[in-house]
Amino acid sequence: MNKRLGAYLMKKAPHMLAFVPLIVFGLMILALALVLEQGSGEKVKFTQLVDKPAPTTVLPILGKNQKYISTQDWKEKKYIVNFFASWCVPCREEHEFLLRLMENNIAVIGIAYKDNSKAVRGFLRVAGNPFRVVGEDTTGHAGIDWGITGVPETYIVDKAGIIRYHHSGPLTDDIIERELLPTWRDLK
Amino acid sequence: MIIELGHFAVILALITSLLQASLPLIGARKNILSLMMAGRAAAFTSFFLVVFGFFALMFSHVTDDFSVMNVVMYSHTQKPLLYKISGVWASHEGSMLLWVLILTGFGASLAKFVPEMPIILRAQALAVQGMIGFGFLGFILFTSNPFARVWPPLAEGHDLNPLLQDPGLAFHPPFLYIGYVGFSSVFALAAGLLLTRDADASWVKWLRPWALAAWSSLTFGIAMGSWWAYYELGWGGWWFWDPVENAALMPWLAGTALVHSLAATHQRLVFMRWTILLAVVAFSLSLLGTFLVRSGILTSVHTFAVDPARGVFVLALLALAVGGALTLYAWRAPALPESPIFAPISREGGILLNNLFLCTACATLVFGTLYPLLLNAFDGEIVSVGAPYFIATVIPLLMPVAALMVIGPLLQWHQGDLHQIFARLKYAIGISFLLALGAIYFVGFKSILGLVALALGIWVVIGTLVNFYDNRNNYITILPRLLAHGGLGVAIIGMAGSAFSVNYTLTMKPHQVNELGSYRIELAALDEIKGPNYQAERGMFHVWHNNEFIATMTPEQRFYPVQGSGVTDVAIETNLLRDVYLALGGEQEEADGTKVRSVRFNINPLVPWIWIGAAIMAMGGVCSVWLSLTRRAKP
Amino acid sequence: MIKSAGLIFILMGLFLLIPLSVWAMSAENALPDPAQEERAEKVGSELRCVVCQSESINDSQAEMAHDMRILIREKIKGGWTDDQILGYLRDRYGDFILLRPPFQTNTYVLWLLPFGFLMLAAGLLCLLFRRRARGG
Repeated sequence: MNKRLGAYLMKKAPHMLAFVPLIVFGLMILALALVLEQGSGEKVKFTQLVDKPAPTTVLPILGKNQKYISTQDWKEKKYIVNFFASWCVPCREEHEFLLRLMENNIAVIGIAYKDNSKAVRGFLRVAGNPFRVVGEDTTGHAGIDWGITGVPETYIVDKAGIIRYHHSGPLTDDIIERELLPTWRDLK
Repeated sequence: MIIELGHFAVILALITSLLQASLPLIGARKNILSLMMAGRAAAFTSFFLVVFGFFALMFSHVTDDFSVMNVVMYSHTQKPLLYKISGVWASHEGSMLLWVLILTGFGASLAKFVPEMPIILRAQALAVQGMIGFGFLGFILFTSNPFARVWPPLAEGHDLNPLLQDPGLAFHPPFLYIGYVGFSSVFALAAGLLLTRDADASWVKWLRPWALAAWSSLTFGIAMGSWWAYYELGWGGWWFWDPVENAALMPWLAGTALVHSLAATHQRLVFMRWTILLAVVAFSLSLLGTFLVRSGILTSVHTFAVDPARGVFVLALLALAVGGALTLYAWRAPALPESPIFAPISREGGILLNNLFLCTACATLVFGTLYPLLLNAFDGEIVSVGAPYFIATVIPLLMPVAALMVIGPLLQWHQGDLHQIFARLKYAIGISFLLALGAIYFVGFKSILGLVALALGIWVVIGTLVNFYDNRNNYITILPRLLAHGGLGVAIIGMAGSAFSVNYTLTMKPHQVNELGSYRIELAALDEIKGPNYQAERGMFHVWHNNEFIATMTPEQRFYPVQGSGVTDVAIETNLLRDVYLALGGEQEEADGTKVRSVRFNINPLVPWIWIGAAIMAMGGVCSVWLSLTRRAKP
Repeated sequence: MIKSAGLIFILMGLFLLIPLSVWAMSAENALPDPAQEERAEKVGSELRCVVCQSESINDSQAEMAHDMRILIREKIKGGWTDDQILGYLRDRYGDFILLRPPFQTNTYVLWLLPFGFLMLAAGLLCLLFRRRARGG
């Protein structure tokens, strides 16, 4: 019985094998169609640090010689961290929203990313200063420590020092109303 | 006006390619000779119509017709003439037109060359070629029309990306496309063969000239692209395992397997099914590459607005063409003649091993390139598959191929004798071993993989030379193989050499002198210069080696104001054993406020051999096409 | 820069590597100890530039890549091991940043498949030869 089945399979093998390329190819086309249907390839969002402790960042404070800001000092308070730069166009777009946060008495720490003090001061004088304090990240290493891929990027840190929210790109009305403020209010 | 005529010609070509796709097929079914012959006329007509359309677009580029969208987007009055011409295929739309130009050109070549080809095979192959042409002409006309006008006309264009304003990049797409698209004729012949009942195993030989032509051109095109990356990107690397590069390497690996198995089928009527399958696979990988590059699925982090219709269209073409051919294969292949019997140790066995490793490497490359996309689409998870992965998987799979490529060709067909071969190769083995030891003495142990590759490259070159010496009185018939194998050996030595490159990144002020290993460089001057459509800063460097003056080198940092972007123009000084590679970077500020320039200085041993070797390989392919065309012409 | 200008990808030829800005602002110098510099190069070649297509940070002219190259050298000077540096960046940018995918649940297939392909094909060949030997 087994032998006859074996012989039968042996005879049919070339016919079955001939279908293998078609099947493999069909699967590949289906998979590619799925990739295409999902939109443009990998959608990469770098939100690795959400729900992880905020990095300890020590930076010189803008305009105050020899004084440093450390995120350690902000323990027990919830706060927002905003990476920005005077040379960054989208940062200007989101600036009005940051000013609105300030009016609502929300503590925002600004980190001037790869910028020089004079340009930052000029920018904040003209556009208004929404930040409690501004740290200067001239090397860009604090930015990497927070996992940014550019400016602007915004984080919410809770009282325990845990990052609860991360948004890259400029803030918009929609994002503030639907994501940022609700997350902020939910934190005790 | 001329642009409308060009547009019209391409619309007409769509119609003639439909005729080409249908008439000869009907003729072959009903055995009507005139219909079968009509396919040839249709193929010529399609070709000339697309040539006209292509030159119409080129004319608009050369004459700065800024009422044509394509010219506005990619040209500028100040752009040098060379790049006005190459600008025709710098855009997606224009490059698709070049693609179809080459496709119809290969269609015409199928109609013209090799008069002894069976009429029915030619007719059916032309029909398949016509179908592909119809599909891609439709793709151009419906999703990517290069003939679109803008109203009102503009006074000036946006200029071409400065990275593309370079002779290497200007002329590598045509070669690359001749390679990619050349496999369409091989595919068409394979499909035509499957469509014929009682196809003879000897018919497979008609695929050879086209497969070899496509392979040679692809080899040359890939080499040119990597050469461009080497001197234009400013980092001294020549291959990055970028998905777009992989897309070109996939059909090359399958094509390399194909030319080997074709040789076996041609000589011994073995592997007929496998060869036919490879012919289909090689072209489907070309199409897969086209899909990956044109659909926009690879632009990941920063999505560039790509019309999604294009991706759908190319995927549909891929599914129809390859799906159709593979269905035909599943249906007809079992009826194709069985391979004659041969011993495992024989030329056939060697080619089988070659195919085993090449195809595994190719499958790994395809899978590795697609994997991040698939994983993301199915699971939403993200991984990157980059150079370290491919170096760890694809390279070890290709190394046995290099090791075997000296032995394989010496084996007899049907039944070989390894003892006899090792006896013949004992000097080659000895010399290679000594040379490899000598190489270790010079380069040290920096990279084990590099050393293995170096030894393999030396082995292949020496083995090929010995093979030439043994056949010195009658080498003409094996010349293509000697060139292809020897060329690859040379290229492998070059690739291995780059594993031992020494890089320095430093900052320099004018008149500063730095000692870097056994080299000394001086930044003698920094000048501002002006090109036709760019401004540049040029550094003048003097370079010494062991206190002996080598050269004055002038790398540039160019800025193209219209595009608002810059490129580095590196300086390379070569003596063929090593490249001195200098790139001038941007201005930087030291902690104390002094202005310095960043400078990259590389010593790249043996790297030029990569491209010399690739050119020799391509010559081997060309030589083989020439031999197969001329030798058959004799009675 | 990064988000505002956006990268122009040319989808025509072989390569998609466009410099973001023309090299760097702050000085980037090799480590004085050649062994340490070699380690820095090695680590850099394992990391994918997070704002580019698929270049390693060694091959990228993007400013972010430049900053990371400096960061790696500082960490090496600070006595970090290669794995610590890779781990530090992986915590921040995820598996995306590793050009060599880690061997884990979602990559078992990826790493084992080349071997699988080879075994499958070799097995098929052996089968074929045995059948031939018996039949002919």
